[in-house]
Amino acid sequence: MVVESRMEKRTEPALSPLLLAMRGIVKTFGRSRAVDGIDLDVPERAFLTLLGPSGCGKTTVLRMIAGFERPDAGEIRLDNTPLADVPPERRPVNTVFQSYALFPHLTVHDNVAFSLKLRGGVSDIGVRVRRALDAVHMADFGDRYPHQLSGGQQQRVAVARSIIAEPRLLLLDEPLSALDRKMRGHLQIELKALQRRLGIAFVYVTHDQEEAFALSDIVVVMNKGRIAQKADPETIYSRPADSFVADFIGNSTLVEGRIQARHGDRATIETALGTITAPAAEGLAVGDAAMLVIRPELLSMRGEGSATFTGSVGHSVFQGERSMVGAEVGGLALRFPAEAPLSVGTSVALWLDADRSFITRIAA
Amino acid sequence: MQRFTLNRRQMLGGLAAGAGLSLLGPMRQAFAAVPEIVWATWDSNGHPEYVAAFEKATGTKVKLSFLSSEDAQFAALKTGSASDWDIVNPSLNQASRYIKAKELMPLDLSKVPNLATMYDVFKTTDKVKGEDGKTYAIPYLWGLNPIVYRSDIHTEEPTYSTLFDPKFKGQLAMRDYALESIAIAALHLGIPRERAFLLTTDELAEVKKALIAQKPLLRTYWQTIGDLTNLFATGEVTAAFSWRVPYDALKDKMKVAMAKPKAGIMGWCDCFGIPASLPEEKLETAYKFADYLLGADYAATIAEIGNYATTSSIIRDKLTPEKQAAIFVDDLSVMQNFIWPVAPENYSEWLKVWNEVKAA
Amino acid sequence: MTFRQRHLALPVAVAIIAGCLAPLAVLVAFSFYEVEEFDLVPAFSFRAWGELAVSATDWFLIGKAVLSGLTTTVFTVVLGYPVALALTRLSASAKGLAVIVLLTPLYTGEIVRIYAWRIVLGGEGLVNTVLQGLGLIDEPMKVLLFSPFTIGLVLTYNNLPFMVLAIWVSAEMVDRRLIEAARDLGARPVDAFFRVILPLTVPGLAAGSLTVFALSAGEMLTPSLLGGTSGSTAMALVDNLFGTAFDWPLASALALALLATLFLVASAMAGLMLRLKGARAVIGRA
Repeated sequence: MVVESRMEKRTEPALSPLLLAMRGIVKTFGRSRAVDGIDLDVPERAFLTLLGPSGCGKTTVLRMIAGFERPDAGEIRLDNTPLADVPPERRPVNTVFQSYALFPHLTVHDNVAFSLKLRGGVSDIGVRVRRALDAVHMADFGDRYPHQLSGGQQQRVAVARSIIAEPRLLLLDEPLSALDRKMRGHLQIELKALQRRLGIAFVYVTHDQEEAFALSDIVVVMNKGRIAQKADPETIYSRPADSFVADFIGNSTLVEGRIQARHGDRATIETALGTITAPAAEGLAVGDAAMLVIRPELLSMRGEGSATFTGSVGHSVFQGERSMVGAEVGGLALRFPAEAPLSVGTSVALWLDADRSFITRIAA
Repeated sequence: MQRFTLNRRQMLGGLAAGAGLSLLGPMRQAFAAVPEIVWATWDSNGHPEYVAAFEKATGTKVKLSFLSSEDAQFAALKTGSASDWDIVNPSLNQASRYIKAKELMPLDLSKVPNLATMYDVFKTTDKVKGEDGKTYAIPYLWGLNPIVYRSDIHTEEPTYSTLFDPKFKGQLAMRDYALESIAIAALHLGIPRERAFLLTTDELAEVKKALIAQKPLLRTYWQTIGDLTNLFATGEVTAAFSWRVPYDALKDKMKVAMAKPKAGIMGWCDCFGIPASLPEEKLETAYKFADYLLGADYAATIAEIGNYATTSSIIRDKLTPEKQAAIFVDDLSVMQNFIWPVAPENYSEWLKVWNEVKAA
Repeated sequence: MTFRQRHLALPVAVAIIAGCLAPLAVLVAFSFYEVEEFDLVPAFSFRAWGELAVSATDWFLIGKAVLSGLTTTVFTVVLGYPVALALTRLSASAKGLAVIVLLTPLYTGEIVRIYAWRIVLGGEGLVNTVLQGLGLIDEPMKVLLFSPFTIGLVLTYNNLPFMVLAIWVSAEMVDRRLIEAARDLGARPVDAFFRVILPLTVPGLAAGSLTVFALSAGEMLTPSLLGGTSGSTAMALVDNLFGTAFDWPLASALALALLATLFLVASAMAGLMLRLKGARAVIGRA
């Protein structure tokens, strides 16, 4: 699935005009710095995801865009207009909350109609509510109250409620985190299709890298209040900006070493497992400490010439169409996919597709 | 509901009752076997020191049961919830109510020898007599309800008409009590005092008009005498139809005086009576105590401490002129100027008028 | 409700019937009795009800009780909401302290409070002295004490804690994210209040309003001791009729009429509050 959506994403809109610009944003709660000086641009019609572990500051960024928190420093502009003095209700931005935050005292219809009724003078509320509910396949549920709906249904209503006023930007705060895996998969596809159809920019917060890759044009990985990397999913995946990103986004094994030689965009790194030449992050120079990122799919039990690594099977987990094997190599555990389960202790020889691996910085 | 009925002497009552009861508590336990008599009365009539002489002379313990209101006393007798009371305290003005309700027993006057020294005006009153001509209650304590006023503000001694004078707008107070307030308005309107409590319907209508016209002049209607004392002390009121309590409480702190209007002096008088249900064996002690209330010891202590006069002349001549004046027995012509507030036949009409005035 | 639970509720039901309905039945019976020579005589007389029906004073005072209850309710609602909502934003320890402060008026007896108000509002009282000292007024403002203003002020003060507590408990249960959601969807703070907070706190609003209405409509001591010549109340009249006038039938009839009127108004209030958009859904689910 990850591979499929990566293929789709090739249609990323080129050079879209800038919708939202954040510059030098700082936000402190008590003594902890939730957001520590970030710059972020959101182009028109982009699906941008803020990805990171809990506490990395991604939700705080979202809340500052929505207007629920004020930055301590920095500036946020939407359509080149500063937002500092614009209260949440006057920002052309709507939010889908993690807990959905549906109004328990209002029916689905009235929840969705909420923003239009506030506006006043909207004559076709009924039609537009119907259309919004149709868009999320909830047209038959207008008379229900939120507590009469399942989690997935509530999520759909929350989306319908937040798009009906046609915001310039839709913010989604881990909207699928409370749902089971299957429902999450369905709704990811629906959300992506909806975003395409509406042509609204989405800023999406999640801690699930698969979800981020499946949905996004741009992924922004955050760590300790700062942006670790901002790029398209494929770049994030194949060329992680540092060891934090590499560690967070995949099952990769990270092998520490030192740069021995540098030739163009490639470098040679000396590690405990041997010396390997692979594409390397810009700026890494001879003598720098660095990290070789070995993604599971780059290891194979067949290859030409001599094997890159040899070791023995430490564990083997059956996952259906394949197994995930952990091999003990020079005191490290290398994960790789095998077509069939291997018994523990079996000797294995592994070939690394070094051209597709990556040498990256060690995160601060 | 009774909790809210604060008709009389409520403020003084709190302290006195607290002190009295806390003394009585332990004593009762220590002398449980001692014969006792329970006297239902106002806190101001029944300080423990007023009855000490009786207790000493007879060895009978006097247990004080303080009243919260006359209505409460009547209700307690009526419902039988006060079966331990041996002597009760009807007012002269309402005695007939108790007599008609057959709550009191006819009294054997020969067992009250101190009656001999009673002032005539009390001896001759028929308000304590039943239709059968028998006496059911005996007046024992009395006083005047004067106009209390600030002598630094009122240079002339106030009359009832002062209470209707726009010159003193916002400084006057009347008691929230139909009987006295309507009678005062009647006296203000020139109705003679013999008829102040016998108003015709037309006169009542006139009185009502006067009382409604008086409303904007009043600071408030006072509810309890503690309430009124507070009103004088805080400068809210400079003249009010009153009891003597604010005068006694404030005479050392501010310039206050008491006026006894010529139009007629509103008097109050408390009687004692014996509940009709009192058992035979307690009767003798009850009569003894009744006689004590008309005797010299009670008269002397209550004149000294409480500034009240009993209905007996027994100690009058032994008092200093100042004390005589303080308890209004220096000039005995007062006995001829009394008017006794007494509920008229058409009392319900009066109440209606008073409620209409207040709601106007 | 299971049988077991119902079983447990039985003593309460019995207590309510015994403590509430029985005295009412007695009042109904008394209202048809006659009074002869200070004696209550069982009878079936409509005298009291007849007198009540044509008494402008009685109905004026009943209306005044309703008005007093309603105005106090409105004042405490208007003042109570900001206080209650502010309470929800305090830290847990600050909340405890705030509630103790809030309840302070209730720790002192009513009589003590009344005389304290006289000291504050009197002609030579605190407010007038300060205002005169500042040169803002020349003569003491007599209207501060012994006026309808005083009654309104003190009844509001006395009843505010009940309203704040009731609304506060309800407001604590409103998810703050709902308020953010409302703001996000275009609601100004005032819109968010009326469209989200108000309907979601209707249980507290209703509990507080009915409590305050009942307490203030039946209040007698405060009006009589602080209201001056405008302090007459239906309750005081009932008291007067039971006591001084010994007209128990009329007192009973008036008390019943007052009770029925207050009950009707309270029912209407409850009905109105349920009609707040969405309130029924909140109550129905609670």
